[in-house]
Amino acid sequence: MEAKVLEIINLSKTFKKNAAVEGVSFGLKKGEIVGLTGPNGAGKTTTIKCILGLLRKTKGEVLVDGFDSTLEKSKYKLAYIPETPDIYPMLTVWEHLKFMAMAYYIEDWERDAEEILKRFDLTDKKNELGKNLSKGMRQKVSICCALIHKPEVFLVDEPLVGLDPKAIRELKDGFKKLRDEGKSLLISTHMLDSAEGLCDRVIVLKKGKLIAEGTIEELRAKVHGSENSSLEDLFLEVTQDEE
Amino acid sequence: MRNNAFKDCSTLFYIEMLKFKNRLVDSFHNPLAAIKSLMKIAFPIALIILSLYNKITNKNKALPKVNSNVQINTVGAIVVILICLILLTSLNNAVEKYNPTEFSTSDVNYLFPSPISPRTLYAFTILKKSLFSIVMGLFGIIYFYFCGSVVLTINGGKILYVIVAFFLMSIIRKSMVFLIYSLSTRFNIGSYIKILVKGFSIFLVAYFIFSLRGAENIYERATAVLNGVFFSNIPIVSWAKAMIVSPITNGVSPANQTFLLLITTLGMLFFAVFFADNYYEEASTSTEYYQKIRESAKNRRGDGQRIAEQRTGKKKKQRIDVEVSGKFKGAGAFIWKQALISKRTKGTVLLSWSSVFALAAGLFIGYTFKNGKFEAVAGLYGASFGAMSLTLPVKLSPLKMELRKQYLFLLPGRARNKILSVYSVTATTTLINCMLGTISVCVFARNVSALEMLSVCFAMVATVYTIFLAVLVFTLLMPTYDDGKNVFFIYIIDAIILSPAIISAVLASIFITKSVQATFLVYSSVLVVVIIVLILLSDWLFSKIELLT
Repeated sequence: MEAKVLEIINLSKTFKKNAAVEGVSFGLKKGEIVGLTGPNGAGKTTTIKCILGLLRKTKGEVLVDGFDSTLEKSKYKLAYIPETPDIYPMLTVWEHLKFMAMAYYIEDWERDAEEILKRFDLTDKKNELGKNLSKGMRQKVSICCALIHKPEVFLVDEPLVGLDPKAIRELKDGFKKLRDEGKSLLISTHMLDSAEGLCDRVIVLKKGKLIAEGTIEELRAKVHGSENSSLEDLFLEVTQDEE
Repeated sequence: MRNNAFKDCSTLFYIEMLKFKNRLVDSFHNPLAAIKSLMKIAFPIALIILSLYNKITNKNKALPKVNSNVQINTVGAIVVILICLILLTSLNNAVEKYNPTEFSTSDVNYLFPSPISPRTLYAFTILKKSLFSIVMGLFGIIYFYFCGSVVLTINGGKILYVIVAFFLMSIIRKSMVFLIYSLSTRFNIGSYIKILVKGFSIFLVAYFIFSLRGAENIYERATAVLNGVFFSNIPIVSWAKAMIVSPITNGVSPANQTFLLLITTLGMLFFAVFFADNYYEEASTSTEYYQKIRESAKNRRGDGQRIAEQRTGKKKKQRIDVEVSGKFKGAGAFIWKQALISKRTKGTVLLSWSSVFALAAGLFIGYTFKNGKFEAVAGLYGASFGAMSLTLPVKLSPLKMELRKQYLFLLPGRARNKILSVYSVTATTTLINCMLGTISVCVFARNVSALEMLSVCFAMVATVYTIFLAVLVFTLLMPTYDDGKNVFFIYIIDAIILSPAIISAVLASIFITKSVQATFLVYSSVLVVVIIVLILLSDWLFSKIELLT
């Protein structure tokens, strides 16, 4: 059995008396993209934030390469790309990368940084200040910052919201490239049509519980959907069943 | 369907009443939100109580029945300068753009598309906002009345003229701005109006400077000119001034001026309403812009400049080739970043215009208290800094912005080191500014030593640092969303954290020493201990923070 780079075991998070996430367990293998989907308030962002340690988990375990996610060494293996690319308005794109390199004690980062910028078509924006970039550009800078310390697992929260079709295409291509390099990505999204061609597997959350997991074909088999059923059809079917 | 102005006004009034009722009901369900609203007026009320107390305690102090000409001229001159500045700047800007701040996002979304006539909506909103502003302005007027009555003889009955003047001037300014904008865009006469406004401004300044030539006492001549025949014949400015200074003058009530100002206001409002049939585009753009700026400031996103540049289409040139030398690794990356941003925005890492202001303020206070004792200077610093320390450090704290950016959580390293790094540049700047603002007092003040002022400086710096670190405690205890509790609790947390130092200082001054300098040192020393405890606890505090948004 292939080892999992990220393993979530029986994760629960309660706010006062409300369970936002309840007993969720799943894993990510090396070089795969997993879509974390679900209706609004399903617990997608809470799950990602618990994995990162931005929220304290009430119960359960989150392991990165077998180690607790809150440990210092796990931070080097994880990268987070938030929904709102909140970069520093008064730092240039290049200075963002320099800042990250300093924070992660990385020496001789310049060549890698040039490579990363080239890959995301940001070379000509190298000396542009964060405040002058569009949302799509800021999203890309956010990804570049996450790449500089060469993490194994990317946690991406609603990356496609508010982007134009060109930016969505570029971003999806970027994610695929990362997968081809052996990185694992957990992408939270409710834009199912965009996720369909991107994710190798899909996890469906509803009211904080994991209600379905698998490839599109596996989900199709589960709900007895037709060959032409889209992810959206399957999603509606799965979430309906649970009503 | 025909518009009915009366019916429209009734509808708008009904909506306002509904909002008021809902606010009242909500304050019963959510008392903390109500307290938050009350906090906005708590400060002026506190000032009024304080000044009232001063008035009562100084009641035996005999004031002359008539104010001196110098006193009346000084107040009159300040009023004339302020009115001229406000009106001329507003007129000058109105030629190019109309930036109404009176409308809310819900007005734009719901009232603008409704069949309510734009003219009715305009007149109603202008009157409503002017009424609201006079309610808030009342606090200022009462405060100045009590403060002023310590040194001036004030006729309480004539305060009504001041209130009316503020109300009418608020409407005149708003109407005039809209009228000028409408005239410039409709008849394409913006450039002529601009030339007129600029020409008139230059003429005023030239006349003022020319009148000062050969004066033995420049101050007396300047105030006399501003209260003289020429300035007293400028319509609106002279009428408003006569009404505002009427409580301190011994003359007859300014009934004529009030009548003239009222007629002018009505005329101005009538013409503004007449032209107000096509302002929705400007109003909605402006409302959207101010909404974005408010959200940016509230969430400390730091993108206010970007929003402003997007609107004007003019990008502020920012130096890109900025370097910060030195080796920074790990948490030190935050120091490098803060230094770089500071250098880019202000030109230097540690000094800024606030340093110049602090130095100037210190020199000015020293000059004012040339023969004063240290106790008087320390009292002034204590009072003014006490008021400022409640708001400034929280606003200046870089921690809130860093928490929003999330890198503080995501990057490796001990929380304590990261927090200290985030604060390092601001903390050093605070130290420099406090030193400049305190030690400089000794340049002119003969009876105050540098060592004494240093004790004041330490107290100020220690207070700011403590409140900086209190943001961490506040963030831990408070949710990241603000449901009305946050503003209220931050004061409580500050008070709790500062209380050991305040109590120690008070006890020391009662039982141990009568020296003000020693009291300041006791206060600072206890705060140093509090700061050390907070730093030691910072790792634990940080681990308890949850980032919900």
